[in-house]
Amino acid sequence: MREIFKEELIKLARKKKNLMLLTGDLGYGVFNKFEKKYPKKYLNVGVAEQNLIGISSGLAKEGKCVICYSIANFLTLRCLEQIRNDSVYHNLNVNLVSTGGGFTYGVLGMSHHATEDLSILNSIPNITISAPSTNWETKMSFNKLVNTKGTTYLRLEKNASDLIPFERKTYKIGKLIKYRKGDFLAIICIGGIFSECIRAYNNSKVNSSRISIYTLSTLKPIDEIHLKNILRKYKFIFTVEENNYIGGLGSIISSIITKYSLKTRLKIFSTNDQTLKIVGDQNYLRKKIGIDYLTISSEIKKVFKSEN
Amino acid sequence: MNLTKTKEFAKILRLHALNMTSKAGSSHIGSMFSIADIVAVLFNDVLKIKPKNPNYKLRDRFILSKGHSGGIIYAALAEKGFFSKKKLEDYCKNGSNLSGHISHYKVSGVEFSTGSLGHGLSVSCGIALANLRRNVRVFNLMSDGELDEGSNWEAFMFASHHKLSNLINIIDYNKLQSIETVKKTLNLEPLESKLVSFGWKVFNVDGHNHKQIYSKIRKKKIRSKRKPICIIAHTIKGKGVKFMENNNLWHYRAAKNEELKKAIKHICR
Repeated sequence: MREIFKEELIKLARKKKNLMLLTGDLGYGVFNKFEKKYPKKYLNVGVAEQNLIGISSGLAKEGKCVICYSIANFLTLRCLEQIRNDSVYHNLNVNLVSTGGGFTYGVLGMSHHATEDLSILNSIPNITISAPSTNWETKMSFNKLVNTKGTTYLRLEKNASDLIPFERKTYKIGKLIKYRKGDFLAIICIGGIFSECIRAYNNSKVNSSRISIYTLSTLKPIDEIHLKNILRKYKFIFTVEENNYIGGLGSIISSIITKYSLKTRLKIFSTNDQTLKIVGDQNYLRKKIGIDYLTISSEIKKVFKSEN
Repeated sequence: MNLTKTKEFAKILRLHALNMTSKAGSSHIGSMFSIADIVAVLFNDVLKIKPKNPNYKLRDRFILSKGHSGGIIYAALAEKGFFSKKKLEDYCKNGSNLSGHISHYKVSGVEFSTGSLGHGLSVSCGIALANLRRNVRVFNLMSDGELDEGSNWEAFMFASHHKLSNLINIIDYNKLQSIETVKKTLNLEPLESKLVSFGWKVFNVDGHNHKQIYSKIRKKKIRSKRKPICIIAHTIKGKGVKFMENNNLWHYRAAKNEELKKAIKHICR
């Protein structure tokens, strides 16, 4: 994902004269090419996230299109009030791009487990939030967000799923993207956890015409009516996110089901309001917290078993 | 600079602030009086602004980082013609846009909304950086207690590192913060040498002496060196009304009935 972001950033800088990239002293080696090509558009403000957002807001207020880059928790939690008051309240074009979504940096410990960033930002009105699942989504989402008025957040992980080669012409904010079509169970996910969903689907060995797979690439804003119309088609919905369900994908889908009194049943896979006190690589931690493909596929099997 | 005019302006601002907070039953009159003279000099003699064209590109930017003193800025803006003085009656009223902490939304002339301390200087750095090669100055007015916020020190480092010579930070050093004295809470001293060591050009002024304030922030002095400028303005919280001076009760209390009458008398003396 980061590679795609890097490429798109350089393309964008060529097109957008007012673009500026600010980093909070992170991205070693990531922006060498960018800095060399556009030295005046690049600024490392140091390890100071509050200042990073304040400065970005000031620059954006003066007409700059600002990209802010850091690790997910530092970019969202450390400077949350600056995001809310300085950038979002003034509707400024500050585009937060984080790396290390979910358990990407699993071995680095709790400080680096980004499992609440989506939820916390989701509770702020007037912000656009995206966590792409594939390289194509990353490319589309980044370009869309930068050209969206106001403050945006793009959560990246190290690796995108390339299990399904997929490209479309259009990418719409707030709508589901369909990757597999079925008629009974829909798996809806956000971010890189998509790869686990695909594996779970393959592993479950259920008739493929019964399971749909969607990503909700943009968590906010959502097209509620569009979501409702899709959710109502299925008897079962699984939501999967590498994030806390409170304020996350699980709670969004749950609230739509409740609001429209849909008959569909919901199972949420998330970090389940837990903080992991152990470390491990991303796959290990996903398994530990129950959002890995084996757990999901066993739940798929259970659902079909109970149906028969 | 016309000293009589500026002094009269400061008096008018104090009266507005007093009436506004008193009517609304809202707080922070002491903090507003503390900066009344600085605001009077800025808005009367220093800032390059156009009330009829508030978004004029080459205007000077003024950010009130100590957002709780927003009332007196609204008063200055109304007096300068950014909006009608009648609007000041809406201060802190239900449904009004004139919030107790300064807000830009639907209020012409307010450059930036603040209220939580320690935000203004970083934003000012961004604005100053974007305008470094333009004839635009950025004035940030902050409180002393606000310097407890670490974000300011991130911004102090940034401003000098990037030689933001169009940035002027004014510290309202009234030596009282929310509950206690600054000295007792978190001593800032030696403040001047701290700021000098952070790479700023620092001036000390009497924050109620219009001539002194003006002499340090007038145009000629600015941008002479490749350093950001910090003005430590030594002020008195509640300045202008004897019974409010240096008394933190007036960080919270609004003048009522007899107090109000007495306060008006003090200001008009």
